[in-house]
Amino acid sequence: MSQLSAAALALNAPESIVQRSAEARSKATGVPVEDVLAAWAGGGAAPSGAAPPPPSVTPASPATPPAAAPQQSQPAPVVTPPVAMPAAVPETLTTRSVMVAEPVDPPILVGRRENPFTVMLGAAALLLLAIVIGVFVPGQPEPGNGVRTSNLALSTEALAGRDRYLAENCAACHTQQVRPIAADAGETEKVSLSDSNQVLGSRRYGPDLANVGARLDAGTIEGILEGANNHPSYASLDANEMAGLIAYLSESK
Amino acid sequence: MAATGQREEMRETSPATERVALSHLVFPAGFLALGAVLAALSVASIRFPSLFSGPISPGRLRAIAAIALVVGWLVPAGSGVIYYLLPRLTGTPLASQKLAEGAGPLSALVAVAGMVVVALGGGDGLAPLLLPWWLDVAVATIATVPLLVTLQTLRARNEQGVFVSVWFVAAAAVWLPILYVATNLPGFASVGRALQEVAFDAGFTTTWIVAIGIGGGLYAVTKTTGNPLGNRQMVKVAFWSLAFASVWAGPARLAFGATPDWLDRISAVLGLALPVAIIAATAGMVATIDRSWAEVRSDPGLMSLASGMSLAVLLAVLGAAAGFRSPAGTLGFTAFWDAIDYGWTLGVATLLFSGVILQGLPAIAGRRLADSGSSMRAIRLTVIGTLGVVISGVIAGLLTGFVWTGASFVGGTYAGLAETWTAGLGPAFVFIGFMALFGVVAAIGQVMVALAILRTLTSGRAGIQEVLVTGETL
Repeated sequence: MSQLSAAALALNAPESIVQRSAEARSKATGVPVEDVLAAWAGGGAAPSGAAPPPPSVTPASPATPPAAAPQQSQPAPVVTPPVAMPAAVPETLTTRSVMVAEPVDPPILVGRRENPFTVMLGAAALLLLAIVIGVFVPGQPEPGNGVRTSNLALSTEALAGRDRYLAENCAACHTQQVRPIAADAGETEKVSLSDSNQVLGSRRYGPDLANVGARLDAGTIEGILEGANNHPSYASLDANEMAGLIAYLSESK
Repeated sequence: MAATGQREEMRETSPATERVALSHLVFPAGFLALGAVLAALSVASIRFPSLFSGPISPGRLRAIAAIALVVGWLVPAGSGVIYYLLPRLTGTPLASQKLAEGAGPLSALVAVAGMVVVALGGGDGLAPLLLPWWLDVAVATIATVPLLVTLQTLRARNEQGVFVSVWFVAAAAVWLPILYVATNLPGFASVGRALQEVAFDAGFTTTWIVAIGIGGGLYAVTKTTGNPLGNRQMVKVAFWSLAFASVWAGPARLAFGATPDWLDRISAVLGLALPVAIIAATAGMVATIDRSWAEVRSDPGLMSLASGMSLAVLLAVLGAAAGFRSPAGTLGFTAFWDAIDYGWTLGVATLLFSGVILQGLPAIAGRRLADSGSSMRAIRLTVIGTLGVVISGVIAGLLTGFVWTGASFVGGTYAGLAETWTAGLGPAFVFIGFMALFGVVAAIGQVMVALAILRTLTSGRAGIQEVLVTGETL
């Protein structure tokens, strides 16, 4: 029986894998392949003094000894990473046998000794602060804080229409906030924002609708919603939904 | 590096840990493909509105695409990056594996449910996802899972030295649920609601896409090249700048509108933290790559990461510059911001996340990439398409702003143009057409990226598999 066969038998692993592992071990330790195989065939450690133990078939053999020998030659103790150990896998996928080989990762995936929870706490605090200052505080419509507000008294039908406006995501293409620029000059005499009734949006591919009811009558609005003026057609809405939407837009003045 | 004189090794194979990471990294790629196609249609719907109505009206379509990308792809895939990195960098198996494992299918379920609900007209109007409250609760729950897993895994860690990637992924895990809950709280209307929407847009980009991308990218670059981290201080600057940037790039989109003036000024200044973060992180990665550029050019994962970071620098600089009052007044409400959003969500996110996945998947699954050449082509198409969308959108935005400020070629007020769709945009309309065209190119690239990920699992040849072994002190 050859040493390779004996080693394979001792390790309960295919000869091709044992051969490959022995070659890898030989390359890593400088010990001839034959000596490595002989050591494995005898069930002992490779003859390198500090060599790692023979490979064992995994997965998950808790008894698998670690491959730690190379560390002994280092001049000073260093922190090494929890290395992910590569395993040679047979080319065929019919078996799930995996052999643990030498760790090849350099000790680079390490950092300083520090508390990650402190980092997480600081990061969370900064985000919370930003949200409070940037969203919650200016989001409160109080007179005098620079937010222009007004209240539109919408009918019940128009309120339902506002919900339909939201559900259809009309704000993806229409704003309801007039700005002090030339393009908005003809649309209103004053910005009119409601605390609850208007949907500001932040994109404007179609007209601003803050006071569309002052510019267009209900019939024109209905025509546009059904596809006039190159507008996407919403004719698939049922009669109530369409009526609500028209009422909402007509009452937005 | 602090010396402890101890060597920690992981000794016991932990297949469940790897199964959690694998399922989160691979299966959401299906939603990437779906979301990419829907996003391309959404861009086209602006240019050709009459072709879209009913369940695929432009408004609904935009939200459906956002749900597929955010809930179906980015949240679970980002969680997968966290689950991939944590065991490797903490020396301990993932905690709460069952919880993490369950969150994956739940994400897919919620994404599908959300898309159906919005397509049927049941959205609540809070952009960009429009999800009704009960689905918001589900998403918030899903978003909390990575946080719980991260906290418990870090508490049980064997490795006391913290590699920089842990900062980013741990912070992302804590940021996501806070952001989602805060920007979906009920009770806000009008200005408050608009601020919630723009804060989510900016915050999701900063605190999830960029944080996960940088964390995963630094690990992948360090590991693949075998070079030690190039510049830790630079990465530290990147991390804290990112934390400062958080949601501040958002309110700039509403400048000159209904928000208070003081908010415009604060957000413009703090929004500068985003390009600082990304440039610093890129510098850290470049320093790590050092002389290994040949590997970057030949490795699809590294190529994807390098492309993603380059694109991120461009978008961050453009976004920050547009946050100041004058440019904000010109570019506000225009296609400029759609281009920036598209660039982050479909360009940077796809490239950074798939970069980490293409690097990690062979190690976890024990299979080589199914087709490296195809992966490289997918990355190139994604870059070309996204850049096309971004450049077209930026030009469209500038032209629109020029028209709207009155200096313009034709266009003008909608009131004077019979309220006709996009008539007020003037010549920008042509460039919105280019956006739609490049959106198709990008979608092809993104679908190919998704296929490259999925095919690695189904038809990749056997390769070197990493086996995580849990440890003891030697």
